[in-house]
Amino acid sequence: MRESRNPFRLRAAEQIESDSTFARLFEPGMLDALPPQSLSVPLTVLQSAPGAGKSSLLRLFTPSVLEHVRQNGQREEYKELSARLRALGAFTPDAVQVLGAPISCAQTFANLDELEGRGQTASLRLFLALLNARIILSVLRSAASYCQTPLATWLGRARVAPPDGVELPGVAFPCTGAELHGWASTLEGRVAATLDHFGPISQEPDLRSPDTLVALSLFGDGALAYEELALPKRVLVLLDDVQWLTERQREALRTSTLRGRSPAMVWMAERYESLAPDEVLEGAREGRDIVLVRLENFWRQSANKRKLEHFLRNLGNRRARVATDVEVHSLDDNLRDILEGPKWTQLFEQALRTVMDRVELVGEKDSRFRDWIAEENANAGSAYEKLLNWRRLEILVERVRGRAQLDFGLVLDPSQREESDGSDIGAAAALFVAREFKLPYYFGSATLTSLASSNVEQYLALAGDFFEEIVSATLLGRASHLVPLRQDRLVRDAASARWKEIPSRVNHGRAIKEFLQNAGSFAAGVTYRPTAPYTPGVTGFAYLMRDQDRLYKKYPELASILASAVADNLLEMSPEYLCKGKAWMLYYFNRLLCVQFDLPLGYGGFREQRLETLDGWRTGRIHSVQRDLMGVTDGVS
Amino acid sequence: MRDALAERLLATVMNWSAEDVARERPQLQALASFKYDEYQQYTPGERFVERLARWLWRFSEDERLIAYRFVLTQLVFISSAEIQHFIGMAYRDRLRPLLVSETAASLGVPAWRLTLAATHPGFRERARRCLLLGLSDGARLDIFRRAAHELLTTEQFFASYEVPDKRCTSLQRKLADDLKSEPKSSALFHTIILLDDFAGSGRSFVRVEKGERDGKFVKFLADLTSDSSALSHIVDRERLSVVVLYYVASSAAISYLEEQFAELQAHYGIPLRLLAVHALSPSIVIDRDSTEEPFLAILRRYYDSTAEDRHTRSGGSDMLVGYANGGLPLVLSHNTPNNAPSLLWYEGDASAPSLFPRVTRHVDQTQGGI
Repeated sequence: MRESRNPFRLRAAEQIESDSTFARLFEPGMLDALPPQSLSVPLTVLQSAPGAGKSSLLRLFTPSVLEHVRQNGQREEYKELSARLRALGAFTPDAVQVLGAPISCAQTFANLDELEGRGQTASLRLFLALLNARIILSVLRSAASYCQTPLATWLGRARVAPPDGVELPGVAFPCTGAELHGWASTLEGRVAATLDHFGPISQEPDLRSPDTLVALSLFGDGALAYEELALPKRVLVLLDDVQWLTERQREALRTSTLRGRSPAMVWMAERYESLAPDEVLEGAREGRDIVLVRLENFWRQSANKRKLEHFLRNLGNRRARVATDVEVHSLDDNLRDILEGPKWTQLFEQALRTVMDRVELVGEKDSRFRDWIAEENANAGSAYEKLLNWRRLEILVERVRGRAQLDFGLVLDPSQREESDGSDIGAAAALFVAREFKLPYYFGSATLTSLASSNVEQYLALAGDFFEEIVSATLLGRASHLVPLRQDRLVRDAASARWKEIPSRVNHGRAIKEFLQNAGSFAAGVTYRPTAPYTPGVTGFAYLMRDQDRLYKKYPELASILASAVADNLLEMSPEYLCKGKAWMLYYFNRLLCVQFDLPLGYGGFREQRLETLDGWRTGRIHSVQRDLMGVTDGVS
Repeated sequence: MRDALAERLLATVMNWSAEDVARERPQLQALASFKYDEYQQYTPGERFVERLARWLWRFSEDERLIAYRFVLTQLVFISSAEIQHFIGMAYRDRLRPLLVSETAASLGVPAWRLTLAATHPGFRERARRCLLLGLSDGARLDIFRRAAHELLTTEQFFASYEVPDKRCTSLQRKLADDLKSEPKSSALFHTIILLDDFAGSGRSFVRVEKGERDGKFVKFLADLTSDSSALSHIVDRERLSVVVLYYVASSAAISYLEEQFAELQAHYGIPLRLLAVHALSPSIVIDRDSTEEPFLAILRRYYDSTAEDRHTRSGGSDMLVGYANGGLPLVLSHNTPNNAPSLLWYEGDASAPSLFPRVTRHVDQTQGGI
């Protein structure tokens, strides 16, 4: 099949067959998420929702990709990546320093836990045996790949000499690669035979394999030799899709990895969905020998937000450059971020008239605002600027009118307006006019990166939609830039599609959707109050950290759906958020969900809630009560 | 034609905006690269999207959208990979289970005793006594043979259902060698399996004209039961059965042939069985009398009666919805069957390009040629 002419659709590391294409598309900024010690500690755990880039990070460290980047490090498209990998210690100018051995946990392992009649010990033995076999086989394959030699040839000539004290039953070290490969293949076959066996299974299967993860101890510096070629000193076992292992297996894996001082390092990539709610909502405990990387959390740290934006924009432009058959080399350059032209000016002027009439009507009945209105009438500016200013004024007028304090009907001074006004009110005004007059709101390069919600796949999906239209316009010989109206439409369509797929895509999908519907409606209701009390808008909620235990004990279903929503990046979690002298567990909506409720995309606006309220959102009980009490409208677009 | 140019042409023909192109292009690209570009009757360099644009250009603006939607939502294209898959299934999922089941029956054990039947020596003997004949090139006996290599040998295949005398002798000799039969003339085939890729109406296979049966299969059965035919001397008439196995067949063809087989079986006294790997659903058929099919109006308006000849008339209808009113919106990767509406495949002149041009088997020699 021909490669897609929309490179944004090449999303998963698994879909890109060619190493050179993969390396070209890999945006170096992703490596910022890896702590500098990732290539020296025994265990690094990468956790995220689907699509954050875990598999891509693992693939980067496979021998063929590293070698490709090392050899081409002087070429423009690889320079930055090469420099960053050198800084991490992945290679020197002369040689690759780590031998990455990829293994997917998606197949077979979990089945071992289901074998009936087995004690826990027996099934864990089988698990460790299979893992030993697969690690050995993967390391040998990777070594052959590094030497650019067919596996059969390499095995016959390679020598394996583990450190002293490491033993394998039935293997005399030093041995050839073929002997070790044969041992591991036979072991794998025995485990498979146990799985395929229909009859009763022995409690002590004849595996002839140690009960530890001995494979990690085999491959120290110099353990592998092939003719005169120097092999990388350190082995890096890359375990992907660890979420497919059972909880016992994951625990056994971690324990085995950290036991003893194995020369090999392990990276584990897993999705949040496999973790228990408390693990998702609180996080695993890091230790001296474990590095835990939660990819979304990394990008959400305030120090990294600019990095994320930079990373995503570079990613988008990088993808655009590799598109074949079309002359579109930058995504950014083709996204218009201004509403301009006679059609828009006319629309703004009509909208301005509407807002002015409303404010002046209030002013006629309430003389306090006379000077504010007069000042605004005297202000110059474009139609859109005036529209925003008048809408800001309207918000401020509503705030004053809503205040209980007595001001004796005195005319308010313009300086009093200045004190109350701020950029956040301007942002609220922009949101309100967009909604009222159906103006595009979600457009522009910065908006596109915000909409990613720190997830690479989400960004590529949206950017892919944008790119498809840019390419289509180019194809038709029209101007390639994508106007704000179309960008806004594409974003809303994507948000709607994402909303609809929640029940089928996520654990507890229906319950999550019900919860988010109520939470989102509440947020929209508060955001769009005429006084804009929480500028620029509410896009999240929070409860006290000290309520966390009560959440698990008294509201376990709520804990489950919150954890599932976080696991799928529908909610962005920030534990221990300090505000008003207290620590809060803060959740923001995925930015695409904000679109579903016409909410702004900035962070900072959230409402504190009691657990009882949140549980009411889950059941639907609170929503109707709130609507009645608060008289707010649903924020559903 | 380059992809981009073809897409631009199509966008012009369909009067698409950039938004329309963005929506349709990924789907078209996927269809083209996955299947449609492999159509073997396209000239070198010709691609599906370009062909589609040129075909749609024939119609009025309103009609183009209807025709386009028809192609995207109703057309069935069977790729060469899919045919190969069907061929593999033909052995694994049709022929082999049949032989296992017959072996179980001969042993007097229940049909579900699969291992017992398949490991019994009688199973291998039964399989060896099969003679597999191709009804046309489409039978792809080379692929079938490779799919069945564990059970069937080259010596039981022949590319045509018309087996020359010398070949009959050779087939029997090799059968005798394998069965270690003495005398060699005692080695006889028990099952004849006729293979073909596609049955659209079944009428080329069995045809009733003026009360008389004719067609490929009728001739074959007559030959098989004629003492003067070499083929009749290498089969065991007491135990003989004939299996006709299609990789793809329309539901109309299946119904028609089953009916005909019942009568032929009674006439010739040979058990006949029809198998199809993939039966096309009747729901895809375009009914010429339908009032709900918008594409029919286009078929009628652009119908070219020069698509008809004496061969097509044997189907008893014009070619509006295809031979014998087949109504199959079907394209096979190597050719379009004439059971499909002629508008899809017939090119009366250069100004009326088709979407999937067809190479016809029957050439009317009375027409002027090169």
